[in-house]
Amino acid sequence: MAKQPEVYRGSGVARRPAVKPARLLLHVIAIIGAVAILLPVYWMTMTSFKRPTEIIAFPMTWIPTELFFGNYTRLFSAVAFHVYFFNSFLVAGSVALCNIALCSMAGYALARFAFPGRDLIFVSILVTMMIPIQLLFIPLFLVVKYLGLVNSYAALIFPAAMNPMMVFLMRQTMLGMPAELVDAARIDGAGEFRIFLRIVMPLMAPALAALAIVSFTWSWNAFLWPLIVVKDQSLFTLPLGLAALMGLYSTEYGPLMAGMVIAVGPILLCFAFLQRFFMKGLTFTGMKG
Amino acid sequence: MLHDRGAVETIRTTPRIGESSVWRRLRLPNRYAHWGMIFVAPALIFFITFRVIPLCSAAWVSLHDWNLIAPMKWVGAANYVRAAQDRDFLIALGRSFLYAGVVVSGTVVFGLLAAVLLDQRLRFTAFFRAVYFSPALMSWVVISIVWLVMYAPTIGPFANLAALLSLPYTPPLTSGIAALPAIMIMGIWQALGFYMVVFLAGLQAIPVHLYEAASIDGAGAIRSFWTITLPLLRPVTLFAVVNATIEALQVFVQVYIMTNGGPAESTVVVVFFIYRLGFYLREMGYAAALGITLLVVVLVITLVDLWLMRTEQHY
Repeated sequence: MAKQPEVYRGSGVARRPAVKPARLLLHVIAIIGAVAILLPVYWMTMTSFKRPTEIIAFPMTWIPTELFFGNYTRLFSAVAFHVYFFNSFLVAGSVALCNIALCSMAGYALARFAFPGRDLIFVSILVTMMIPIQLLFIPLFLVVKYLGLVNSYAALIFPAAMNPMMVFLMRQTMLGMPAELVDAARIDGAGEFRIFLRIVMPLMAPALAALAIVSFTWSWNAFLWPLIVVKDQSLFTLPLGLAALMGLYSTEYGPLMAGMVIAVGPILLCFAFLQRFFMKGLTFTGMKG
Repeated sequence: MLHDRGAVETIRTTPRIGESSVWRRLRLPNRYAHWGMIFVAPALIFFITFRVIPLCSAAWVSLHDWNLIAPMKWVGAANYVRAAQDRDFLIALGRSFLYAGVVVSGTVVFGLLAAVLLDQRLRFTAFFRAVYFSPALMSWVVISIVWLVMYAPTIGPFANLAALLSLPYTPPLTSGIAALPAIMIMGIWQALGFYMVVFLAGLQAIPVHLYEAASIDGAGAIRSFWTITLPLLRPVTLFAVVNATIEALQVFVQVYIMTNGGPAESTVVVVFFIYRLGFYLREMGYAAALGITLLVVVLVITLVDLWLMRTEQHY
């Protein structure tokens, strides 16, 4: 083939195919950036497979001289790490399910029904979704204490069970849903719950997937709230377990690094396969809770 | 088949999409009103219990003196007066703003640069995008512990790199001057990729013909960037700045894990200050007042943002 057609030459800075050395340079910059971003994760993973003597060796080794799994076995024998993992999974899973159910139902009601008080509810949601719940941790703790929920799974799950931001997003999405489908189902005599489960929810599947992923990730990573509300080791989630582990093994980094690999591994693995949902979900909802 | 009169009315009173305003379209016959209430009720119960009541009780507690044990004592606005005169609190608040200022500028500048870089149709763009984004998915606890150990003397990669270049290395977290900047660098590292994705979406929304016209008029790449890309990214940048600021003002875990406020109180940020006040010193009333103050700060930032966005033109 011949050279680039002349037409492309003047077409837009961002889209213009640049000359080769410049493009090579851009790739090099991108790779340097990627290395800098990945360095902590790489180092953490490598350290988790090193023997204790190799971890403290100076100068350090960039690749373990042998694959050592002792840090991982130690993690599960010395500390109840599987319990933390189970707790994190249970809490984050429940939070995601609650958010799917509650936020989609509320969004549907706010988008598709007229009822007294609707506008008041909608405005309250608009106002509170801008407030980071983190900053309310003291009064939230008092409410949870009053309800007698301190030190329980309920205390970890319920305050995150619905998120005003998610309700707002579900409402906006549902406004764009064709009303004809629901009307047709009503004429055919379908009940309201049936319509919601069989027609509305399937139409919302992509939005629900993003919602589920975001609430799961938030809950999986949450630290401040679990720190305040949970005292028993048997209720610790992964971030709490890791923080406690750091206190226990302040000079022994192997098990700590192994624990962190286990804590971020599942999320990063899911991200590798569901990139699009993660990015859409997280960028549309602002950030962590 | 058409025995359900409500449904028929629904069809008649529901204009097609795009025909009428949103509010007109919502006006359904009232026989469905109770269904709306049924659908909203579960979420509403949680909303009231865990958002509305804490918000109101925070305001109530902030007007009292309370250590969780003795009965609450009404003190009026005394806690707020105390906040305005509390030097430690004002320093912590200022430190959070300093943290936010540095981290937000760093994040936005590097995020924008990374977005422009990945908008050049490189090979493996999807891979780079995923890699840059990945720290945003990690728990702050994990990030803080990894960086804590990375900053450590002799065993960490930074100490080793310094040794390789035969430079002196003092662990930053043990120094009153370097500890906060060390936490800031980590903050930029974490958030950069997230805002890169935000900026990429903004860049891809800019019509290509604008660049074509500029290039016909003889504008170079750098001139196009300053006169087309940057002005048209204004709404996205505004969103990024406000969002990153609100996020950065909440910095807590990093300090809790890495320095516990030290050395010599040099990393006490405002949320850490409030946490310590509430859960160690048990000054619930004062802590609640500080929490409300911080909420008001965040709300003001949000409102300014909304006001700025109001005048924004779409292209």
